[in-house]
Amino acid sequence: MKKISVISFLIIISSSLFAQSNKSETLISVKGTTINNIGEIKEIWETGSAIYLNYENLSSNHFSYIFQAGYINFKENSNHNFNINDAHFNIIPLQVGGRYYILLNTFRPFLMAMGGANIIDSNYPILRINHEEEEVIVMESGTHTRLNFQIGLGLAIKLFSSLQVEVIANYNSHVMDAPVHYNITGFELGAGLSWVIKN
Amino acid sequence: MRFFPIFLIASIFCTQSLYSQSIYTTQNDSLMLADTGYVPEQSLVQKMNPRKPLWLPIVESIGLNLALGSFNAYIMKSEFAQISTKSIKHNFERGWSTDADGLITNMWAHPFHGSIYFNLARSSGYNYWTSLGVGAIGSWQWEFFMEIEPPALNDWVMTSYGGSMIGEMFYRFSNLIIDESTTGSERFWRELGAGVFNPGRLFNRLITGKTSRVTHEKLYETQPFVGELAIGANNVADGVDFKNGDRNLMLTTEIMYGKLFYKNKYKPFDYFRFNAALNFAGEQPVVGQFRIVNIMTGNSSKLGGGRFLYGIFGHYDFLQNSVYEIGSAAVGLSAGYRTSNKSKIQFASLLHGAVTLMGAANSDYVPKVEFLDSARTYNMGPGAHAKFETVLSFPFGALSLDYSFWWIHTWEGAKGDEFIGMLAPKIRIHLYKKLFVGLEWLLYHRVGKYDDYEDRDYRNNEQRLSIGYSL
Repeated sequence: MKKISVISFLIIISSSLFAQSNKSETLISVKGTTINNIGEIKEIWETGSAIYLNYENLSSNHFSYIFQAGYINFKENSNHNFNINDAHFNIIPLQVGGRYYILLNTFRPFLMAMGGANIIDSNYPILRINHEEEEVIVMESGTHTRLNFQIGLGLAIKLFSSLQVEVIANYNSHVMDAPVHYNITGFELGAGLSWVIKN
Repeated sequence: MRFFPIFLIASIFCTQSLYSQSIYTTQNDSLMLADTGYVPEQSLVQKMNPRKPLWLPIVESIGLNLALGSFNAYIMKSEFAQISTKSIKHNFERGWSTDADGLITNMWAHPFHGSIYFNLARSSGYNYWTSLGVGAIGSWQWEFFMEIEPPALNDWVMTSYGGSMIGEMFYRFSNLIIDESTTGSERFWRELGAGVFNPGRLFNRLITGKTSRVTHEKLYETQPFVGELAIGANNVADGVDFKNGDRNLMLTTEIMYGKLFYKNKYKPFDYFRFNAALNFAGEQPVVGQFRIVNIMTGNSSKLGGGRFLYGIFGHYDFLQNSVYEIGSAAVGLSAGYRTSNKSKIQFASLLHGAVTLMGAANSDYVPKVEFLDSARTYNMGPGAHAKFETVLSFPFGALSLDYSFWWIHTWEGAKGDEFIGMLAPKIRIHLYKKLFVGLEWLLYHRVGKYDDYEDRDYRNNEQRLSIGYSL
């Protein structure tokens, strides 16, 4: 175990020798996350899991721009029962955004912001207030496109010149319809792998 | 003495006019001026105005928010500013929403607020895009932390993006006014004059000692501009005839900064056109018009005897009178052509198509909002914007024709779509030297198509007669 730790340490230290590049980098990343919703949505859709694929172009001025696509699947709150068979709430997020890397060494802490569109596929009943201010149950069904926003921070660790791992923590504020009195707000934690495809 | 700053600003504009003349004269319109702009060497800028760390303008923006929030909470005792950890937690749980402030607050005052964040970064040495990002952070912090109302997406868009447009325009104006080779009272009034446009920059100049630095190095980019200042009267009629209107005294200005069609490549605000109209002594709101159209990036090249241009343009529009109210921030593609500058009669035209990030238009149907001091009288949402600008200039004047179209899909308000168009033909005739007389007619039409209400179709018109001075 001690030997593995020493080797890992040496890899990280030695990798920093070639990680000081001022050149721009193009990366492809895959990451998985878990989502914990907050606010009113948590009462019906409590948690979620997501997978993302992104393309990133990092310039020497510490800024990068990112194109990202993914798939999010939400799970029903255990205290909630829809009483229908095929209740689901899935999202395909299509995002653009950027990161600001505070350091560009082996350890690369960063701040990030993403925005774009969510293609929402849902099927579940929800209580709403209609124009006459009466409570009615309506089905939140079908496919809709709505805005998404995400800010967060993370740490990328450059293990080799062409490979890095990263951990992220995000706050999500995805927009629903105005008549739905909640948004998809929550915190997202995840980890991923990035390949440098162009230096 | 109190008029000195006004005279100073006017004199700077007049000095520029020595080479800029009128927008619409044949010999010297802004579109084909010789390149008299000044861009300082980067090495000189880095030596004299080194870039500050990025955290500084961010911290300044948050500091501004805390100061303004404290003023609202403790001096003004405003309900919306009575924040707590509970209100902040609720804002994070609720996420983006919209607010119910009046049109002038949401679509005009917020961009002005955003221009301060923007210029805290711009005057710290950052370019347009990074400064836009700092403005977005400042506005985000305000929305989530400094109000008990849920964070408003419309405010964030208008403060960040709208703020960047007004902010960059003010940054360029303040560049024209600041002269670090001057001393004494002239220097004082120059710094104050620039600070009126740009308080964020004034703050940074004060804390870094630049307001008192004397140097003969030229450190700030300037581009030639042309413009006009006119005074006159308008008649806002509730219909398409000229009768039964509301008559006002009106002050208008139009400034074209930079040289469109001249350069091969452009960066943000190398060219912009600014229009404003203020109403007095009538029933109309004081701020009648405030519009900016600017280049973000683009290319131009020779085409036949003239020049062709294409690029990405930004659009900020705020128009209001007793008949219509429009606010919009958009970005999109544009293309244009102008004829050779050698002929006596010249023609230039631009066609724009843009995505409206946030727009607002007054409507007969606005669901009442029961929240704090609701003042919303308009429907709001994203959409699209198109604009056609053309000018035919000849030795004794110019004829221009503008058409603007907005489509706003209601995101908040009466469900449906608002389609608004404004046709604005205008003629200017030169009277004597730089004096001109202008006659403008605005035809406004609006079609509202609603899911839950009867559709609406309106037509109104406004006439403007003015006498002006070409800068």
